[in-house]
Amino acid sequence: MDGFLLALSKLSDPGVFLLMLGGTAAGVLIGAMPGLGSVLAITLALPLTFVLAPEPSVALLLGLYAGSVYGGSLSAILINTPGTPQAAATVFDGYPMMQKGQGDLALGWATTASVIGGLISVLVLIVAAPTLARFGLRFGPMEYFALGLFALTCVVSVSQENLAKGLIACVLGLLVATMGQDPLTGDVRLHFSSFDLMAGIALVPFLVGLFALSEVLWRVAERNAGKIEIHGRTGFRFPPLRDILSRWRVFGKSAMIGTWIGTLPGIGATASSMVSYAEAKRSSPNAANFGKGEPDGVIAAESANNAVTGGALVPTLSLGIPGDPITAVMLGALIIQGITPGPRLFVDNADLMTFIFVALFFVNLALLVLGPLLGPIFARAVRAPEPVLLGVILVLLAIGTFTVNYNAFDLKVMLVAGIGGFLLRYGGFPLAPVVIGFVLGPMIELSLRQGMVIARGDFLVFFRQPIALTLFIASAAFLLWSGWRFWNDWRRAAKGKNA
Amino acid sequence: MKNSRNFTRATLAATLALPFMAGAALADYPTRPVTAIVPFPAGGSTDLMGRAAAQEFARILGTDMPVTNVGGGAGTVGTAQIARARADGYTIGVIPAAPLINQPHMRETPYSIEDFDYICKLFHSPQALALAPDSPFSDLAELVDYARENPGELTYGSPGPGSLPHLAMELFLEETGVQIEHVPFQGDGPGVTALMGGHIDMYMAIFSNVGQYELDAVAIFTDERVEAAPDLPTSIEQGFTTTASWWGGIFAPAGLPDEVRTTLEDACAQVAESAHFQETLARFGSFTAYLDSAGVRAEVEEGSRVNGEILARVLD
Repeated sequence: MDGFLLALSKLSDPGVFLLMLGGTAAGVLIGAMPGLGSVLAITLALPLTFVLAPEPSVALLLGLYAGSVYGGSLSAILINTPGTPQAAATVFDGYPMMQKGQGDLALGWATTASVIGGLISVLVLIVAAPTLARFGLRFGPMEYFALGLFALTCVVSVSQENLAKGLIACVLGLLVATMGQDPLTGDVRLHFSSFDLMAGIALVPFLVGLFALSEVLWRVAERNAGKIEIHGRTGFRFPPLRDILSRWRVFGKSAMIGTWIGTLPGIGATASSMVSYAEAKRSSPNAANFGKGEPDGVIAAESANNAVTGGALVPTLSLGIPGDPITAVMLGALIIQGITPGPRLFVDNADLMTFIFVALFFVNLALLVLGPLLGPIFARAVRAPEPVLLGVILVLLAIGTFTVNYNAFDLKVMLVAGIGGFLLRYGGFPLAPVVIGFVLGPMIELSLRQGMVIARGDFLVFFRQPIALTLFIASAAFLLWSGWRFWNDWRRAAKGKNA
Repeated sequence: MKNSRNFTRATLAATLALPFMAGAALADYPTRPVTAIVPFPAGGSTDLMGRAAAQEFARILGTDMPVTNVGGGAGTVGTAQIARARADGYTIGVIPAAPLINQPHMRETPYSIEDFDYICKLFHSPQALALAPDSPFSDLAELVDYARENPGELTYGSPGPGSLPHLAMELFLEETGVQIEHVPFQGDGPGVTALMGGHIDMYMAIFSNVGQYELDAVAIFTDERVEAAPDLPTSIEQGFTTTASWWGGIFAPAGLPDEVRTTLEDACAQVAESAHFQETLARFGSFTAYLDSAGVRAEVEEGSRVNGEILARVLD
């Protein structure tokens, strides 16, 4: 308890507190800019941490981290563009809410979900970090493969009306993801003799092109078609407490999924929000509305991706292994401070650990204040005259995409993905399955092939792993259930026609 | 609108003037910030080396040295950017050896080892073989004997195909003539976790990771024991001949003006001497490993030849 009081007093130091608040606000803004993401936010602050003491550095970095993950949801909801890859699943239901004129409420749900997800993950981090870290170790290639497969089944749910088109879109995403280096042999595939393609297609330019650029193109096309534009409400509205309480299951489950997947190195918040979305779609009583602006969809995605922040810190702090590229940069910053994360950190630096917990807790609370402050500013900005807005967005997209890797080729990827996204929309193909395939494909391929080496070529070994088997059964059950429902709907529709 | 046109004109003029300015500036290089390209993402081992080195270079050269991370393609994308950059000394690269001596043997790269001016070798970290927590082996010989009797039963992990640890392990397997299956991961994070969970039997790691993750190492592939781990026996003293390290240095696009080149070479020698730099590296389990221009060129050529042969065999 003394540790907590000490940590609180350190955090109440005006300098530390302002850094935390400023870091969170800056994180939200950077996250909301399509293309600028968490890694950029943290690397920008890295030089600052050279001169700061450990506590203010940690407060700043955690603020930027949680803030940027949350910020991605603003543009996801308001302009149909995930500000960061983590918010890709927020688009699925967030933007339809905006189209229905409930943009303000969607922001409220996203904020509530982010804060609750973040807070739950901090609590889990405090109580169970070492236990979770040990459980995470039981995940080897075979378990990752089963997990990836389970997440992939959510394609069925996000495909909405047309399953065939959804599956085609998913295969397209999987196919694009196979471009570049073979993860096992290092051979290159589908490179068309272009050196740039040999490195594969990067996530950010692909996502930005597919969602954001295609949205810009779509709006331009709609204008010319003389279609009426849907005006969302500007502003910010928290959902009524009653509604929040009635959806406690989705909040809790998504936060736990996010925290838990965050603890597994190399999976990341993007995939975790998709697993969470798939699970919410499977179990929510409002499942039928998913993809059409269902708050549960926003909650599932946002609660999970913010919960990853706490989860990803579990292996980072207790094993010294970063859970994602963002925590890798934070790990470097800690080492520069002379702090070595690892099993001994909880003993050697117990005070700092407590400070990290407390700081992350308050960063999440800060989102509760900053969301309603910054959200409406963004919402107002998107009400600007459309030609101006689209022009500004286009410039931001290009800058954001370029600064990720300072590689001009990424701009071409964005352009092609944008045109591709536009054509897909035109053909009535859903975009979500493309992203799901693209994000999960490499993980599924790599873990399957690693697992096959370890199992000496015998796939049956996969079924002898209890965790993997459980996930396989869950995937199969979900597919069967979907198939049964599909068949039921079809039969009912056929009957209706006859009658 | 008018303003933006003026701006465009000014930019255009500045761009056109740039070659002349560069020529004029030669006498007192550097006159503006020097960009250091690190061909791997922020937060990794190379990035840490790059940022530590950039800080020292900035102090010695008296100019800013911002670090730009250009990741992708196992380091080849950033390395290609360095090779293509203007050879005026305002773009240099902090490159680990793999994209230079391994990747060009695995596929076509738009650069070869001829496309660089070699400034210096600057850092290295020895490689060590780490074992899973419940491993029955207590020394390298036991492990090799077991692998000899049970070919293909054991697995080892590496941070990726064509990485320096992958090549080091294949070199060791070639030396001992035993068969251990390779399971590549995407970087050390997932690989080390798989080792700790016992999903693979061993992991070839750079020494900095062994200390950081408190892994059970069975051998370090050096001639002499290292100070940071005095109890860790070397491969040599256990009766084997393979030594291996993860290393890198400062490289620039070929064709630097002589003066610029000399300035950079002198600065690099000073960086290697800097106590602060050595301390920073030591925190990451790495060490300064200075070689001058001719020395590092020879090492790159030798490494490229040896690894080219191994890769031709392994990837077949």
